[in-house]
Amino acid sequence: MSGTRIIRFILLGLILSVVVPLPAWSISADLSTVDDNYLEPDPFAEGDAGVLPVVSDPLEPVNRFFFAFNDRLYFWVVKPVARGYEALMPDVVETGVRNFFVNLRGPIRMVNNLLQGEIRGAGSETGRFLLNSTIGVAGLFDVASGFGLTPRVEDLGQTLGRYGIGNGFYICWPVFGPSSLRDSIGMAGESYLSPLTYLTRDNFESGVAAYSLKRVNVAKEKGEVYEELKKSSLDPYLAMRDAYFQYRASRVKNEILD
Amino acid sequence: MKRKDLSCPAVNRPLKKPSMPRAHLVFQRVKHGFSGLVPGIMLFVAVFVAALPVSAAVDTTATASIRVTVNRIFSLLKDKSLATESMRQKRRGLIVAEVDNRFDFSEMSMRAMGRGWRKRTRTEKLEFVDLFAALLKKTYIRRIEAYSNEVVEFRKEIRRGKRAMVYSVVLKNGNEIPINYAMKLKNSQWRVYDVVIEGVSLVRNYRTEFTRILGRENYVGLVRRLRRKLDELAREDKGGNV
Repeated sequence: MSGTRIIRFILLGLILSVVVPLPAWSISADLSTVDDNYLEPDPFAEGDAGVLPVVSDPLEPVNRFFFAFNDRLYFWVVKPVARGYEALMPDVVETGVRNFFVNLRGPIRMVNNLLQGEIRGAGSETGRFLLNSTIGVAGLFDVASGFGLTPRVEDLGQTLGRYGIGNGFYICWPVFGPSSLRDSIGMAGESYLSPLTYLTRDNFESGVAAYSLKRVNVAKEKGEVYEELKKSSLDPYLAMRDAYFQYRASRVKNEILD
Repeated sequence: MKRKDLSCPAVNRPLKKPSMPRAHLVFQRVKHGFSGLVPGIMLFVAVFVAALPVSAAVDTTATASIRVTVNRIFSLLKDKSLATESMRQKRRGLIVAEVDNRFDFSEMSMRAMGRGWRKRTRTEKLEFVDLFAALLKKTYIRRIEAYSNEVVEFRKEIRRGKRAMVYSVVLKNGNEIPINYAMKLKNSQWRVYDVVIEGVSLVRNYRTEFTRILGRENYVGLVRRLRRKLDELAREDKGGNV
Protein backbone atom coordinates (compact mmCIF):
# COMPACT_ATOMS: atom_id res chain seq x y z
CA MET A 1 0.00 0.00 0.00
CA SER A 2 1.46 3.33 -0.98
CA GLY A 3 1.95 6.14 1.47
CA THR A 4 -0.51 8.46 -0.25
CA ARG A 5 -3.20 5.84 -0.08
CA ILE A 6 -2.69 5.41 3.62
CA ILE A 7 -2.88 9.14 4.18
CA ARG A 8 -5.97 9.43 2.01
CA PHE A 9 -7.67 6.70 3.86
CA ILE A 10 -6.71 8.04 7.27
CA LEU A 11 -8.05 11.42 6.24
CA LEU A 12 -11.26 9.86 5.03
CA GLY A 13 -11.57 8.07 8.34
CA LEU A 14 -10.89 11.24 10.27
CA ILE A 15 -13.45 13.23 8.34
CA LEU A 16 -16.02 10.53 8.75
CA SER A 17 -15.40 10.12 12.45
CA VAL A 18 -15.80 13.83 13.04
CA VAL A 19 -18.79 14.31 10.75
CA VAL A 20 -20.69 11.14 11.58
CA PRO A 21 -21.73 10.76 15.18
CA LEU A 22 -20.35 7.63 16.74
CA PRO A 23 -22.85 4.84 17.03
CA ALA A 24 -22.91 2.92 20.28
CA TRP A 25 -20.27 0.26 20.02
CA SER A 26 -22.72 -2.55 20.13
CA ILE A 27 -21.87 -6.18 20.71
CA SER A 28 -24.68 -7.43 18.52
CA ALA A 29 -23.63 -9.17 15.35
CA ASP A 30 -23.00 -6.45 12.88
CA LEU A 31 -20.28 -6.10 10.33
CA SER A 32 -18.47 -3.22 11.95
CA THR A 33 -15.56 -5.17 13.33
CA VAL A 34 -15.37 -7.64 10.53
CA ASP A 35 -14.18 -6.06 7.33
CA ASP A 36 -10.86 -4.71 8.48
CA ASN A 37 -10.06 -7.77 10.51
CA TYR A 38 -10.20 -9.85 7.42
CA LEU A 39 -6.71 -8.64 6.70
CA GLU A 40 -5.40 -9.99 9.92
CA PRO A 41 -3.80 -13.36 9.33
CA ASP A 42 -5.03 -15.99 11.72
CA PRO A 43 -2.07 -17.40 13.64
CA PHE A 44 -4.04 -20.58 14.26
CA ALA A 45 -5.11 -21.24 10.69
CA GLU A 46 -2.86 -22.63 8.03
CA GLY A 47 -1.95 -19.95 5.54
CA ASP A 48 -4.25 -17.16 4.47
CA ALA A 49 -7.63 -17.08 6.09
CA GLY A 50 -9.34 -16.93 2.72
CA VAL A 51 -7.41 -19.56 0.83
CA LEU A 52 -7.91 -23.27 1.04
CA PRO A 53 -5.16 -25.85 0.78
CA VAL A 54 -5.29 -27.63 -2.55
CA VAL A 55 -7.02 -30.97 -2.39
CA SER A 56 -6.50 -33.41 -5.22
CA ASP A 57 -9.60 -35.30 -6.22
CA PRO A 58 -9.25 -36.50 -9.81
CA LEU A 59 -11.65 -39.36 -9.17
CA GLU A 60 -14.41 -37.08 -7.93
CA PRO A 61 -17.21 -38.48 -10.13
CA VAL A 62 -16.38 -42.06 -9.09
CA ASN A 63 -15.86 -40.99 -5.49
CA ARG A 64 -19.23 -39.24 -5.46
CA PHE A 65 -20.83 -42.38 -6.79
CA PHE A 66 -19.36 -44.48 -4.00
CA PHE A 67 -20.14 -41.79 -1.46
CA ALA A 68 -23.80 -42.06 -2.46
CA PHE A 69 -23.49 -45.83 -2.40
CA ASN A 70 -22.07 -45.79 1.13
CA ASP A 71 -24.79 -43.39 2.19
CA ARG A 72 -27.43 -45.90 1.08
CA LEU A 73 -25.53 -48.77 2.56
CA TYR A 74 -25.56 -46.92 5.84
CA PHE A 75 -29.21 -45.90 5.88
CA TRP A 76 -30.64 -49.07 4.37
CA VAL A 77 -28.42 -51.76 5.86
CA VAL A 78 -25.93 -50.69 8.52
CA LYS A 79 -28.21 -48.45 10.53
CA PRO A 80 -31.19 -50.83 10.78
CA VAL A 81 -28.88 -53.73 11.59
CA ALA A 82 -27.03 -51.64 14.16
CA ARG A 83 -30.35 -50.69 15.76
CA GLY A 84 -31.38 -54.28 16.09
CA TYR A 85 -27.97 -55.21 17.37
CA GLU A 86 -28.03 -52.46 19.95
CA ALA A 87 -31.47 -53.47 21.14
CA LEU A 88 -30.37 -57.06 21.53
CA MET A 89 -26.93 -56.62 23.00
CA PRO A 90 -26.32 -55.37 26.53
CA ASP A 91 -23.92 -52.42 26.68
CA VAL A 92 -21.32 -54.65 28.30
CA VAL A 93 -21.20 -56.81 25.20
CA GLU A 94 -20.87 -53.80 22.92
CA THR A 95 -18.01 -52.43 24.98
CA GLY A 96 -16.42 -55.87 25.04
CA VAL A 97 -16.63 -56.24 21.28
CA ARG A 98 -15.18 -52.78 20.79
CA ASN A 99 -12.35 -53.50 23.21
CA PHE A 100 -11.68 -56.77 21.42
CA PHE A 101 -11.25 -55.13 18.01
CA VAL A 102 -9.26 -52.25 19.46
CA ASN A 103 -6.95 -54.75 21.10
CA LEU A 104 -6.57 -56.67 17.87
CA ARG A 105 -5.03 -53.58 16.32
CA GLY A 106 -2.61 -53.19 19.22
CA PRO A 107 0.42 -54.57 17.39
CA ILE A 108 -0.26 -52.27 14.42
CA ARG A 109 -0.33 -49.24 16.71
CA MET A 110 2.78 -50.45 18.49
CA VAL A 111 4.76 -50.83 15.26
CA ASN A 112 3.64 -47.45 13.98
CA ASN A 113 4.54 -45.76 17.24
CA LEU A 114 7.99 -47.29 16.87
CA LEU A 115 8.26 -46.25 13.22
CA GLN A 116 7.48 -42.69 14.28
CA GLY A 117 10.00 -42.78 17.09
CA GLU A 118 7.28 -42.60 19.73
CA ILE A 119 9.01 -44.82 22.22
CA ARG A 120 6.60 -44.08 25.04
CA GLY A 121 3.64 -44.73 22.80
CA ALA A 122 5.14 -48.01 21.65
CA GLY A 123 5.77 -49.00 25.27
CA SER A 124 2.25 -48.10 26.25
CA GLU A 125 0.79 -50.11 23.39
CA THR A 126 2.97 -53.12 24.18
CA GLY A 127 1.87 -53.03 27.80
CA ARG A 128 -1.75 -52.64 26.78
CA PHE A 129 -1.63 -55.55 24.39
CA LEU A 130 0.04 -57.83 26.92
CA LEU A 131 -2.30 -56.92 29.77
CA ASN A 132 -5.53 -56.82 27.82
CA SER A 133 -4.84 -60.03 25.89
CA THR A 134 -4.24 -61.94 29.13
CA ILE A 135 -5.92 -60.46 32.19
CA GLY A 136 -8.36 -58.68 29.88
CA VAL A 137 -9.55 -62.02 28.45
CA ALA A 138 -8.43 -61.80 24.82
CA GLY A 139 -8.96 -58.05 24.82
CA LEU A 140 -12.61 -58.05 25.88
CA PHE A 141 -11.79 -55.91 28.89
CA ASP A 142 -9.61 -52.85 28.78
CA VAL A 143 -7.80 -53.38 32.06
CA ALA A 144 -4.71 -51.51 30.87
CA SER A 145 -6.48 -48.13 30.91
CA GLY A 146 -6.91 -48.65 34.63
CA PHE A 147 -3.13 -48.77 34.86
CA GLY A 148 -2.87 -45.48 33.05
CA LEU A 149 -1.92 -47.10 29.74
CA THR A 150 -4.04 -45.29 27.22
CA PRO A 151 -4.13 -46.20 23.52
CA ARG A 152 -1.80 -44.23 21.27
CA VAL A 153 -3.58 -44.28 17.98
CA GLU A 154 -1.11 -44.45 15.13
CA ASP A 155 -1.50 -46.16 11.79
CA LEU A 156 0.69 -46.66 8.77
CA GLY A 157 -0.94 -43.80 6.89
CA GLN A 158 0.05 -41.49 9.74
CA THR A 159 3.55 -42.91 9.77
CA LEU A 160 3.92 -42.24 6.06
CA GLY A 161 2.57 -38.76 6.65
CA ARG A 162 5.11 -38.21 9.40
CA TYR A 163 7.82 -39.17 6.93
CA GLY A 164 6.64 -36.31 4.77
CA ILE A 165 4.55 -38.24 2.28
CA GLY A 166 1.53 -36.23 1.15
CA ASN A 167 -2.02 -37.45 0.87
CA GLY A 168 -1.92 -38.01 -2.85
CA PHE A 169 -5.51 -37.87 -3.98
CA TYR A 170 -8.79 -38.52 -2.26
CA ILE A 171 -10.43 -41.92 -2.53
CA CYS A 172 -13.89 -42.78 -1.30
CA TRP A 173 -13.91 -46.55 -1.14
CA PRO A 174 -17.15 -48.46 -1.34
CA VAL A 175 -17.95 -49.91 2.09
CA PHE A 176 -14.73 -48.61 3.71
CA GLY A 177 -15.39 -44.95 3.04
CA PRO A 178 -13.08 -41.91 2.92
CA SER A 179 -9.37 -42.40 2.42
CA SER A 180 -6.48 -41.04 0.44
CA LEU A 181 -3.92 -42.67 -1.78
CA ARG A 182 -1.38 -42.55 1.04
CA ASP A 183 -3.76 -43.87 3.66
CA SER A 184 -4.98 -46.63 1.34
CA ILE A 185 -1.40 -47.76 0.82
CA GLY A 186 -1.04 -47.62 4.58
CA MET A 187 -4.11 -49.77 5.10
CA ALA A 188 -2.90 -52.29 2.53
CA GLY A 189 0.49 -52.40 4.20
CA GLU A 190 -0.78 -52.93 7.68
CA SER A 191 -3.24 -55.59 6.60
CA TYR A 192 -0.24 -57.91 6.91
CA LEU A 193 -0.29 -57.21 10.63
CA SER A 194 -4.02 -57.67 11.00
CA PRO A 195 -5.43 -61.00 12.15
CA LEU A 196 -8.64 -60.13 10.29
CA THR A 197 -6.74 -60.39 7.00
CA TYR A 198 -5.58 -63.91 7.76
CA LEU A 199 -9.03 -64.88 8.93
CA THR A 200 -10.53 -63.58 5.69
CA ARG A 201 -7.92 -65.40 3.64
CA ASP A 202 -8.54 -68.72 5.35
CA ASN A 203 -12.26 -68.39 5.63
CA PHE A 204 -13.76 -65.56 3.62
CA GLU A 205 -17.19 -65.67 5.25
CA SER A 206 -15.85 -65.55 8.79
CA GLY A 207 -13.63 -62.65 7.80
CA VAL A 208 -16.55 -60.72 6.38
CA ALA A 209 -18.66 -61.60 9.41
CA ALA A 210 -15.93 -60.38 11.77
CA TYR A 211 -15.53 -57.15 9.80
CA SER A 212 -19.31 -56.64 9.79
CA LEU A 213 -19.47 -57.14 13.53
CA LYS A 214 -16.70 -54.62 14.01
CA ARG A 215 -18.55 -52.13 11.82
CA VAL A 216 -21.99 -52.68 13.27
CA ASN A 217 -20.66 -52.45 16.80
CA VAL A 218 -19.42 -48.90 16.29
CA ALA A 219 -22.10 -47.97 13.77
CA LYS A 220 -24.11 -45.99 16.26
CA GLU A 221 -21.37 -43.55 17.23
CA LYS A 222 -19.93 -43.26 13.76
CA GLY A 223 -23.38 -43.05 12.27
CA GLU A 224 -24.30 -40.14 14.49
CA VAL A 225 -21.22 -38.26 13.36
CA TYR A 226 -22.01 -38.99 9.74
CA GLU A 227 -25.64 -38.00 10.04
CA GLU A 228 -24.72 -34.73 11.73
CA LEU A 229 -22.22 -33.93 9.02
CA LYS A 230 -24.76 -34.72 6.36
CA LYS A 231 -27.45 -32.62 8.01
CA SER A 232 -25.30 -29.59 8.58
CA SER A 233 -23.67 -29.37 5.18
CA LEU A 234 -24.76 -28.11 1.80
CA ASP A 235 -22.62 -30.60 -0.07
CA PRO A 236 -21.99 -33.57 2.22
CA TYR A 237 -19.45 -35.08 -0.15
CA LEU A 238 -17.22 -32.00 0.07
CA ALA A 239 -17.78 -31.68 3.79
CA MET A 240 -16.72 -35.28 4.34
CA ARG A 241 -13.70 -34.98 2.08
CA ASP A 242 -12.47 -31.87 3.83
CA ALA A 243 -13.20 -33.29 7.28
CA TYR A 244 -11.22 -36.39 6.37
CA PHE A 245 -8.17 -34.44 5.24
CA GLN A 246 -8.30 -32.10 8.21
CA TYR A 247 -8.68 -34.96 10.63
CA ARG A 248 -5.83 -36.92 9.12
CA ALA A 249 -3.57 -33.89 9.03
CA SER A 250 -4.11 -33.28 12.72
CA ARG A 251 -3.49 -36.96 13.45
CA VAL A 252 -0.24 -36.89 11.54
CA LYS A 253 0.84 -33.88 13.55
CA ASN A 254 -0.35 -35.62 16.70
CA GLU A 255 -2.21 -32.48 17.61
CA ILE A 256 -4.96 -34.42 19.25
CA LEU A 257 -4.15 -35.31 22.79
CA ASP A 258 -4.32 -39.07 23.01
CA MET B 1 -22.09 3.37 10.88
CA LYS B 2 -19.67 5.17 8.61
CA ARG B 3 -16.71 4.42 10.85
CA LYS B 4 -16.81 0.95 9.53
CA ASP B 5 -15.82 2.19 6.14
CA LEU B 6 -12.48 3.31 7.50
CA SER B 7 -10.89 0.22 6.18
CA CYS B 8 -12.68 -0.08 2.90
CA PRO B 9 -9.86 1.13 0.68
CA ALA B 10 -7.77 -1.70 2.03
CA VAL B 11 -10.51 -4.26 1.74
CA ASN B 12 -11.25 -3.44 -1.85
CA ARG B 13 -7.71 -3.85 -3.00
CA PRO B 14 -7.24 -6.84 -5.28
CA LEU B 15 -6.23 -9.79 -3.20
CA LYS B 16 -2.52 -10.24 -3.22
CA LYS B 17 -1.58 -12.48 -0.39
CA PRO B 18 1.74 -11.08 0.76
CA SER B 19 0.65 -7.48 0.61
CA MET B 20 -2.50 -7.83 2.66
CA PRO B 21 -1.07 -8.58 6.07
CA ARG B 22 1.62 -6.00 5.50
CA ALA B 23 -0.94 -3.37 4.65
CA HIS B 24 -2.71 -4.22 7.80
CA LEU B 25 0.43 -4.03 9.89
CA VAL B 26 1.06 -0.58 8.54
CA PHE B 27 -2.46 0.37 9.48
CA GLN B 28 -2.00 -1.08 12.94
CA ARG B 29 1.17 0.79 13.49
CA VAL B 30 -0.53 3.94 12.32
CA LYS B 31 -3.39 3.33 14.70
CA HIS B 32 -1.09 2.95 17.63
CA GLY B 33 0.95 5.98 16.70
CA PHE B 34 4.31 4.27 16.23
CA SER B 35 4.74 5.41 12.67
CA GLY B 36 6.46 8.67 11.86
CA LEU B 37 3.81 9.48 9.29
CA VAL B 38 2.21 12.90 9.62
CA PRO B 39 2.32 13.33 13.40
CA GLY B 40 -0.69 15.63 13.53
CA ILE B 41 -2.93 13.04 12.01
CA MET B 42 -1.41 10.49 14.33
CA LEU B 43 -2.51 12.48 17.31
CA PHE B 44 -6.06 12.64 16.05
CA VAL B 45 -6.09 8.97 15.28
CA ALA B 46 -4.68 8.22 18.71
CA VAL B 47 -7.43 10.23 20.33
CA PHE B 48 -10.10 8.40 18.40
CA VAL B 49 -8.56 5.03 19.03
CA ALA B 50 -8.37 5.81 22.72
CA ALA B 51 -12.03 6.77 22.63
CA LEU B 52 -12.96 3.26 21.59
CA PRO B 53 -13.51 0.74 24.32
CA VAL B 54 -11.24 -1.72 22.50
CA SER B 55 -8.41 -1.19 24.89
CA ALA B 56 -10.58 -1.38 27.99
CA ALA B 57 -9.06 -3.50 30.69
CA VAL B 58 -9.57 -7.20 30.16
CA ASP B 59 -9.71 -9.04 33.41
CA THR B 60 -10.53 -12.42 32.00
CA THR B 61 -8.89 -15.06 29.85
CA ALA B 62 -10.38 -16.71 26.80
CA THR B 63 -10.66 -19.97 28.74
CA ALA B 64 -12.56 -18.29 31.56
CA SER B 65 -14.96 -16.72 29.05
CA ILE B 66 -15.79 -19.88 27.18
CA ARG B 67 -15.98 -21.82 30.42
CA VAL B 68 -18.67 -19.49 31.71
CA THR B 69 -20.70 -19.99 28.55
CA VAL B 70 -20.29 -23.76 28.52
CA ASN B 71 -21.19 -24.02 32.21
CA ARG B 72 -24.27 -21.87 31.75
CA ILE B 73 -25.43 -24.00 28.82
CA PHE B 74 -24.82 -27.18 30.79
CA SER B 75 -26.82 -25.91 33.72
CA LEU B 76 -29.66 -25.02 31.35
CA LEU B 77 -29.53 -28.57 30.05
CA LYS B 78 -29.54 -29.97 33.57
CA ASP B 79 -32.39 -27.76 34.71
CA LYS B 80 -35.28 -30.17 35.27
CA SER B 81 -37.87 -27.43 34.99
CA LEU B 82 -36.74 -26.71 31.43
CA ALA B 83 -36.53 -30.34 30.40
CA THR B 84 -40.19 -30.81 29.54
CA GLU B 85 -41.53 -30.81 26.01
CA SER B 86 -43.46 -27.58 26.56
CA MET B 87 -40.36 -25.79 27.78
CA ARG B 88 -38.20 -26.96 24.91
CA GLN B 89 -38.58 -23.76 22.92
CA LYS B 90 -37.80 -21.64 25.93
CA ARG B 91 -34.70 -23.66 26.71
CA ARG B 92 -33.56 -23.36 23.13
CA GLY B 93 -34.04 -19.63 23.29
CA LEU B 94 -31.93 -19.42 26.44
CA ILE B 95 -29.18 -21.55 24.96
CA VAL B 96 -29.13 -19.52 21.77
CA ALA B 97 -28.83 -16.36 23.83
CA GLU B 98 -25.71 -17.76 25.51
CA VAL B 99 -24.31 -18.79 22.15
CA ASP B 100 -25.02 -15.37 20.65
CA ASN B 101 -23.08 -13.76 23.45
CA ARG B 102 -20.00 -15.83 22.95
CA PHE B 103 -19.87 -16.65 19.25
CA ASP B 104 -18.99 -14.13 16.61
CA PHE B 105 -21.15 -15.20 13.70
CA SER B 106 -20.10 -12.29 11.49
CA GLU B 107 -16.46 -13.24 11.70
CA MET B 108 -17.36 -16.90 11.21
CA SER B 109 -19.39 -16.05 8.12
CA MET B 110 -16.60 -13.99 6.66
CA ARG B 111 -14.07 -16.72 7.25
CA ALA B 112 -16.40 -19.39 5.93
CA MET B 113 -17.00 -17.45 2.76
CA GLY B 114 -13.31 -16.74 2.34
CA ARG B 115 -12.34 -14.81 -0.75
CA GLY B 116 -15.89 -14.34 -1.89
CA TRP B 117 -16.61 -12.11 1.08
CA ARG B 118 -15.09 -8.91 -0.24
CA LYS B 119 -17.12 -9.10 -3.44
CA ARG B 120 -20.39 -9.00 -1.55
CA THR B 121 -22.40 -5.88 -0.92
CA ARG B 122 -23.23 -4.91 2.62
CA THR B 123 -26.79 -6.17 2.27
CA GLU B 124 -25.56 -9.48 0.95
CA LYS B 125 -23.10 -9.80 3.81
CA LEU B 126 -25.83 -9.19 6.36
CA GLU B 127 -28.12 -11.65 4.62
CA PHE B 128 -25.39 -14.25 4.53
CA VAL B 129 -24.47 -13.78 8.19
CA ASP B 130 -28.13 -14.28 9.10
CA LEU B 131 -28.47 -17.47 7.10
CA PHE B 132 -25.17 -19.00 8.12
CA ALA B 133 -25.70 -18.13 11.79
CA ALA B 134 -29.13 -19.76 11.63
CA LEU B 135 -27.61 -22.92 10.16
CA LEU B 136 -24.85 -23.03 12.77
CA LYS B 137 -27.26 -22.47 15.63
CA LYS B 138 -29.59 -25.20 14.42
CA THR B 139 -26.72 -27.62 14.11
CA TYR B 140 -25.30 -26.61 17.47
CA ILE B 141 -28.62 -26.82 19.30
CA ARG B 142 -29.29 -30.29 18.01
CA ARG B 143 -25.87 -31.44 19.08
CA ILE B 144 -25.96 -29.84 22.48
CA GLU B 145 -29.42 -31.22 23.24
CA ALA B 146 -28.06 -34.71 22.69
CA TYR B 147 -25.60 -34.16 25.54
CA SER B 148 -26.43 -35.91 28.74
CA ASN B 149 -23.72 -36.58 31.27
CA GLU B 150 -20.70 -35.39 29.39
CA VAL B 151 -17.99 -33.53 31.23
CA VAL B 152 -15.95 -30.75 29.67
CA GLU B 153 -12.37 -30.16 30.70
CA PHE B 154 -10.37 -27.16 29.64
CA ARG B 155 -6.81 -28.25 29.14
CA LYS B 156 -4.78 -25.32 27.92
CA GLU B 157 -4.82 -21.99 26.18
CA ILE B 158 -2.40 -20.53 23.69
CA ARG B 159 -2.54 -16.80 23.39
CA ARG B 160 -1.23 -14.89 20.40
CA GLY B 161 -1.93 -11.20 20.58
CA LYS B 162 -5.65 -10.65 20.41
CA ARG B 163 -6.33 -14.25 19.59
CA ALA B 164 -6.37 -17.38 21.64
CA MET B 165 -6.91 -21.05 21.10
CA VAL B 166 -8.61 -22.81 23.97
CA TYR B 167 -8.14 -26.57 24.10
CA SER B 168 -10.87 -28.59 25.73
CA VAL B 169 -12.02 -32.18 25.75
CA VAL B 170 -15.48 -33.58 26.13
CA LEU B 171 -15.43 -36.80 28.12
CA LYS B 172 -18.09 -39.17 26.88
CA ASN B 173 -18.29 -42.81 27.93
CA GLY B 174 -14.58 -43.09 28.41
CA ASN B 175 -13.79 -41.34 25.13
CA GLU B 176 -12.19 -37.97 24.87
CA ILE B 177 -13.41 -35.70 22.11
CA PRO B 178 -11.04 -32.78 21.68
CA ILE B 179 -12.78 -29.49 20.97
CA ASN B 180 -10.77 -26.33 20.45
CA TYR B 181 -12.19 -22.85 20.40
CA ALA B 182 -10.47 -20.19 18.34
CA MET B 183 -11.25 -16.93 20.07
CA LYS B 184 -10.63 -13.31 19.45
CA LEU B 185 -10.62 -10.33 21.74
CA LYS B 186 -13.06 -7.74 20.47
CA ASN B 187 -14.18 -4.77 22.49
CA SER B 188 -12.69 -6.46 25.55
CA GLN B 189 -14.84 -9.54 24.98
CA TRP B 190 -13.52 -12.92 24.00
CA ARG B 191 -15.60 -14.31 21.19
CA VAL B 192 -15.39 -17.59 19.33
CA TYR B 193 -14.71 -17.43 15.61
CA ASP B 194 -14.01 -21.10 14.94
CA VAL B 195 -14.56 -24.45 16.59
CA VAL B 196 -12.17 -27.27 15.89
CA ILE B 197 -13.60 -30.69 16.68
CA GLU B 198 -11.15 -33.60 16.55
CA GLY B 199 -8.86 -31.56 14.38
CA VAL B 200 -11.61 -30.49 11.98
CA SER B 201 -12.17 -26.76 11.74
CA LEU B 202 -15.83 -25.98 11.31
CA VAL B 203 -15.13 -22.79 9.43
CA ARG B 204 -12.67 -24.39 7.06
CA ASN B 205 -15.08 -27.23 6.43
CA TYR B 206 -17.78 -24.79 5.41
CA ARG B 207 -15.32 -22.77 3.40
CA THR B 208 -14.61 -25.83 1.28
CA GLU B 209 -18.27 -26.13 0.45
CA PHE B 210 -18.97 -22.44 0.02
CA THR B 211 -15.95 -21.83 -2.20
CA ARG B 212 -17.06 -24.57 -4.59
CA ILE B 213 -20.69 -23.47 -4.61
CA LEU B 214 -19.74 -19.81 -5.10
CA GLY B 215 -17.50 -20.79 -8.00
CA ARG B 216 -20.18 -22.80 -9.75
CA GLU B 217 -23.48 -21.23 -8.79
CA ASN B 218 -22.46 -17.76 -7.60
CA TYR B 219 -23.72 -16.05 -4.51
CA VAL B 220 -27.35 -16.47 -5.57
CA GLY B 221 -26.92 -20.22 -5.72
CA LEU B 222 -25.22 -20.33 -2.33
CA VAL B 223 -28.01 -18.38 -0.69
CA ARG B 224 -30.63 -20.53 -2.37
CA ARG B 225 -28.95 -23.65 -1.06
CA LEU B 226 -28.63 -22.24 2.44
CA ARG B 227 -32.33 -21.37 2.50
CA ARG B 228 -33.26 -24.79 1.21
CA LYS B 229 -31.12 -26.41 3.90
CA LEU B 230 -32.72 -24.31 6.61
CA ASP B 231 -36.21 -25.20 5.36
CA GLU B 232 -35.25 -28.84 5.36
CA LEU B 233 -33.96 -28.66 8.95
CA ALA B 234 -37.02 -26.73 10.07
CA ARG B 235 -39.29 -29.37 8.56
CA GLU B 236 -37.31 -32.08 10.30
CA ASP B 237 -37.78 -30.80 13.78
CA LYS B 238 -41.29 -29.53 13.40
CA GLY B 239 -42.22 -26.93 15.88
CA GLY B 240 -38.60 -26.08 16.43
CA ASN B 241 -37.66 -22.75 15.01
CA VAL B 242 -34.32 -21.92 16.49
